[in-house]
Amino acid sequence: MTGYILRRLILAIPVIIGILFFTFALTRLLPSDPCRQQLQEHATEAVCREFNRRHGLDQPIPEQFRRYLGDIARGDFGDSFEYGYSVSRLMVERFPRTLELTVYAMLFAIIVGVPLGIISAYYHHSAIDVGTMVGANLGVSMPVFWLGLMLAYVFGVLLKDTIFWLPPGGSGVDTRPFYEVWGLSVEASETSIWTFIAHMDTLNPLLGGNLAGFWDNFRHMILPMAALGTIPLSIIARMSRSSLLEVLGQNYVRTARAKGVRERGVVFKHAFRNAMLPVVTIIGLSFGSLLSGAVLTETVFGLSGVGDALFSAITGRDYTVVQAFTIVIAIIFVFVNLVVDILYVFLDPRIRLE
Amino acid sequence: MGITDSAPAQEPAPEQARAFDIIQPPKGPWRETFENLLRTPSAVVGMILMGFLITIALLAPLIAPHDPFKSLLDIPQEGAVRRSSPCIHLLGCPKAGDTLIDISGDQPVGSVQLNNERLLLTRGNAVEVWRVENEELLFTLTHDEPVTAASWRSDQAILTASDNKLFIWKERRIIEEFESEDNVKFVLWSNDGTRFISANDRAISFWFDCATADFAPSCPMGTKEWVKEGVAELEADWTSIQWHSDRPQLMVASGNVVQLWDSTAGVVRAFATLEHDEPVTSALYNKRGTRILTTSGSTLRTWWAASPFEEIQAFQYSAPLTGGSWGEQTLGGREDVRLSAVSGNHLIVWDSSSGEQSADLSAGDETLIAGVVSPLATQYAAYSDTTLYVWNAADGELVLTQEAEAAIRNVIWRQPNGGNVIVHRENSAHVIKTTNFQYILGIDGSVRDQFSRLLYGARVSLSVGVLSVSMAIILGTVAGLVAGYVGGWTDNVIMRVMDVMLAFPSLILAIAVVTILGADIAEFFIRTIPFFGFLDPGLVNALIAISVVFVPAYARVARSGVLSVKEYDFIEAYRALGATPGRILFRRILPNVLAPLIVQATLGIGTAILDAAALSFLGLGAQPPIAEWGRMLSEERAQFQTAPHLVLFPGLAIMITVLAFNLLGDGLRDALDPRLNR
Amino acid sequence: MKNTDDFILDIQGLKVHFEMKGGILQRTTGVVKAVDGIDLKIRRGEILGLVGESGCGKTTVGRAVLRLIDATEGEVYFEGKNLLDQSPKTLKPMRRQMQIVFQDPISSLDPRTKIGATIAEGLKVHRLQRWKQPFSTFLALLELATDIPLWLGLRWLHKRLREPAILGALIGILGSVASFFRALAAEWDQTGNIEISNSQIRQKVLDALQKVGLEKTHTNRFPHEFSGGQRQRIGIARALVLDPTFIVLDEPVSALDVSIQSQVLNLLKDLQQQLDLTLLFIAHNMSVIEHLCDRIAVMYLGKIVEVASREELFKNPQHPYTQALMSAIPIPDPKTKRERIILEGDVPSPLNPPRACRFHTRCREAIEICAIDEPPLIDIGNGHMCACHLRQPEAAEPTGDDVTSVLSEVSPS
Repeated sequence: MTGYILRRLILAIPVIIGILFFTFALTRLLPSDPCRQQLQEHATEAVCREFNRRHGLDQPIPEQFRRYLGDIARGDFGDSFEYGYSVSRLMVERFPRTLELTVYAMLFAIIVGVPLGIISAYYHHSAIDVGTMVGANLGVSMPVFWLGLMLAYVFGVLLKDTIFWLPPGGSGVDTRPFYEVWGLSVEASETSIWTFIAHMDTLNPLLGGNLAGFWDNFRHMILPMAALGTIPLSIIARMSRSSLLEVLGQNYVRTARAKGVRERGVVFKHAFRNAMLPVVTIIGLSFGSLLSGAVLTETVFGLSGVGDALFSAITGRDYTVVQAFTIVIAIIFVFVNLVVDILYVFLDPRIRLE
Repeated sequence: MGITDSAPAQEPAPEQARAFDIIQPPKGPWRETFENLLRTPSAVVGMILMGFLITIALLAPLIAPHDPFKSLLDIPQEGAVRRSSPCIHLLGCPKAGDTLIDISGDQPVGSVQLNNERLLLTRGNAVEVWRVENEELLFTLTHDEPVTAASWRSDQAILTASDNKLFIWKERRIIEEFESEDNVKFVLWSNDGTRFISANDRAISFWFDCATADFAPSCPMGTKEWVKEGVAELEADWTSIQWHSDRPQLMVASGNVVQLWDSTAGVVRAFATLEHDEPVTSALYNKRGTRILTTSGSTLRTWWAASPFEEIQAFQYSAPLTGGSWGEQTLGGREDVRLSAVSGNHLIVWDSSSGEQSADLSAGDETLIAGVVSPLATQYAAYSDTTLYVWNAADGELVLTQEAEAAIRNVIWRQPNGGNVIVHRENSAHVIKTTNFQYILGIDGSVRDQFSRLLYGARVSLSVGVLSVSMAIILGTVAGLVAGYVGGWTDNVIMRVMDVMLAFPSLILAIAVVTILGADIAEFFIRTIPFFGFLDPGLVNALIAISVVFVPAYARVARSGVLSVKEYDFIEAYRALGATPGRILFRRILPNVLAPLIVQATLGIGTAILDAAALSFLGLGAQPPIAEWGRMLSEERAQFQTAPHLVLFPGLAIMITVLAFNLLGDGLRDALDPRLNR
Repeated sequence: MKNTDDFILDIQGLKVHFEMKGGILQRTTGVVKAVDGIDLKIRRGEILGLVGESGCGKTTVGRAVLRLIDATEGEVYFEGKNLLDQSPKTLKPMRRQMQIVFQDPISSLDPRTKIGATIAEGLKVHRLQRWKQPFSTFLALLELATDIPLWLGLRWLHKRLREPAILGALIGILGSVASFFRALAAEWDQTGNIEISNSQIRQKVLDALQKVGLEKTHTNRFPHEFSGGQRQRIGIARALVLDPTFIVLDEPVSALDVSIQSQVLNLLKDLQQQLDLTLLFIAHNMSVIEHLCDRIAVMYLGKIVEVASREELFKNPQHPYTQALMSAIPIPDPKTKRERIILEGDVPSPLNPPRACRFHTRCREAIEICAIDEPPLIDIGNGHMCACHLRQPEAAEPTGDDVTSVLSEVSPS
């Protein structure tokens, strides 16, 4: 099994190198000259020569790539042109929120999607089944940003002044960093792990024991979570239904039924584990669509996360930020898929034997 | 031994073969697929939806009631009101004469003003502000004594007069308070908001905000407050007062004269007087403030509003005229100016350029009080004591007659596009629709018909979806076929590149590709490929980006197909026959791996449409004025709380289109399932 | 067996090795010696049976002879020309003369192509399309044209840029452009094609169908509408349509019902006589071989162990392996008792075949020499060839106990 995991890890290396090369090529392929881009009207011939020398742009391409890899290995992504500070700091500020949003959306999708799929498979061809499948079909066809706006309209505008009202945008109150609450004297620099955790909107107040702050921040997260989670929810519901149906049609399940195992036992003891295999794959793949969707959801709900930063970086032509965030998102995606592959080993003993 | 010599091959006799043919005609795999498809309900739904969408896309220019790219304000079409509520024909849209908004109560309504789609009215001790669009009372400004007059500045500051006092309200709070002369019955802000006047029957006071000017003759040194500059004393009761649209000039009609007052020199003075021989019944500036219309006796005159303040035209009628009104519009650079006035139960309209009388409309027996030409001059409204009449300008048809017991005080056209009138009666104010014309799904922020835009959006979305997937499928299939058939290093290199591309979440990769592609590449495509001509550069970039993102998916499908087909003996047979690799690959293997590719492509078109909409939503795809659903949605996003229909319908359109492709794709997958086939 | 010395096909020292790859880096971990040096001659107009257990390499021989698999070593002379030396261009016309019929009637027909088109494919491939000729010449020139500036340009670029990465990318790009033109030129190449009209193609397809006993109406059908026997007839028709002189039959009846086997075998025999064909009949079933073949070659683990005429082989099998095979043929008479030679153990893996005589691990008569020295395939009289130390003519037989005793210390058995 360790051999299998090792092999998967080794196989991920060329992909990551490819990602780095692609993003490196991205900056070299951009239509604008980086010197002109950053210095604007100050970019004279001599200044640009000095600029290129300082940034190593006069070196041969392989040398540039080598330096670039070295910078990234040291966690140095350069400075944001728009924000005026390092991209690493921007990442520490923005990533926690996106991470929370994505995790909430994924949890929402799994917690709602899997039971829905099981119920529709269990009551095959019933009204519940048909309803779920129609809903799932609509769910995968919806644009995330539209769903977000509609949810914001329904819960933020139509249900105003009712208990169902939810904030249609923005994030909640600022809370004190948890380490201050704990009285820890940690060295919380701008890019430390403490700051990273303290930037988590809901985890930080929870750690700090500030329940009101947690609830306020969580309420702001509900609509984005629902909007972002709907597509994976539909996919997961569809997948778990069809996969469970397929497993329920197999001979060993029929045998279990013939033995007199109760239907619930058949579904949960015999069929469930095998039916979940393709669902796990789908969950891993959905992460990609979640990361894409986060860009849109954050734009719609005005959450200042990675997506929002990426969007403003694109419109502001802040390519350092675009590049760095693209790398990090892609690498996260690769690792999520890796984790799914490894999870597979635990779910499917056949792979362990290979 | 095991073999016995038996009779030679027994084949069915020719007759039998023919009978067999009749019962079961030879069926191709594709035809079988199609029949399977027709048996899948969801696929049939998808096909119907898609047929519908394709029809819409093809016939969009025929179905669309309006130009989707131009502001309706440029076209003389009454009723095109910014962000009007959606109205779906089947559910019953309001018709001419229907009351859209009814603000009525016990107390008499003093005055009604319309500013930026908000209605201001005075009623008893209060000033109420209503949002016309959804009949919502935004706020009430309550005074201790009855409010006698109110006026609304463009920055929403409200000036009110009550119990010999003047108040300026801002954000529902009084910010200034002044003592005024007795019995103020009229207040009016100047257009730049630095001055106002307050008037009773014979005297008009001029007020100036010294805070807006560093030095002004009327302000004592250092004063940063409102000062009263002076009072214009009139010889007779005034009949109409109006500020000039740009200059601080006030036009006042009283008795036999129309006077132009100003106070810029520090003194209130009348710098011009337009003399008439009979009492002036109405006086009005035109839109740009270059001319003045007056009615007096049975003559309607126009005057220069600047030096030399001379009469331009005079139109005679057989009876005394009252209630004059301008009707102006610009059509294709040519100005069309109509002048109207009422006399008895007649509404008379003249054409300014030809100097001819262009209409003489009559209705009922009652004497009309005033006539108003709609903002786009396509309709005329006039009212008598209790009845409102509306005519169409083109044919003089009386569209609307509305009678009620309460007396009409005033009628205002809803600005800027008409279609509705606001009728001010004794105790109420109503918004009444005057046209039967509908904007089925309302009008967007740039005053364009949303329905037409949605129809054209189908063209854009379908073509972007189909084009990007076709490009992706061609590249991906070739790459996948070659990788699978050749194998070895070629395979390794191609598939590793595809792996890297798949490592990016699709939208992120698309964003990255769009940033690489400058305008040049899109221009190149638009110029060289005729079919791309109707797309804009931004959209072409999005299209290229999406197809790049999709390539790996098709490459993988094609490659795995080739790998399985390659093992079959018939491929060896073709090689033995001498067929070249290219022929085998593209003419023999390709049809065999086409089925999963088609499924993938159908599902891919849906995803491509979604991605294109997302890119446009982020501002990276279609650029205005192109009617792309994602773009439409993002343009109206800021106003989704007040105009949700402008966000709802484009999103629904995207969803239905994607759904159609998804259903069809799922159906195709079932129909082409190898387990069912063969 | 008309002219004894008129060989249509002469296989000399043919070897086909496959490399096994494994691990992350796809390194070669072993070599499968599917065919490991065989010599075989096929006379014009005869039916040669190639028999052996599954996995012995007989199918590989059939495919290597037609160059469907690349041979590792050796020569295959067809009508005096070495097939393995031919370029794709010169090979293509030769393909018309030699065809193949496959074992699996399902996988050997293209499921998405109608029968008529499947059979006509061969004719279409070899059809002369004059309008393509100039293109093909042009493309060949382009191919050259991309090669020359490639070299010159790269030298220049190398001096200018001193940038190996760009250079590498350019080599890659230009190389693939050149190979693209090369592939296109090959696609459009018309050398050696025959002139044939559409109606002639149609007529030839119908003729071929008629020869194998199928109907005209079948041309419009798809393979899945046919039975196994019919499909195999279609496969034969596909091979016949080019009027070949030599056909490899790769176990054409193994996948069929016994009742249909005989029909197909009779058809093949009739066709061979009518059309004067030479057949290489590959099979693992001795009774099928006996029914059809003039001469028989027996293969074991990539080697030919015995070649003889049918009568000779069945009457007097020499090699112990052949004898074992013979004893496995069922006799339809329950009363007849015969001693069956049961071979012990499995066929050794071709990845690691036994040294020397490949059969010595399972041979009942094996002696020490069999594990040391490989026996040559030698004529033991009457055109009967056999590769066994025990069946050599007297002169070649190993003599002397001292040799054996010395060697026995080395060999394990």
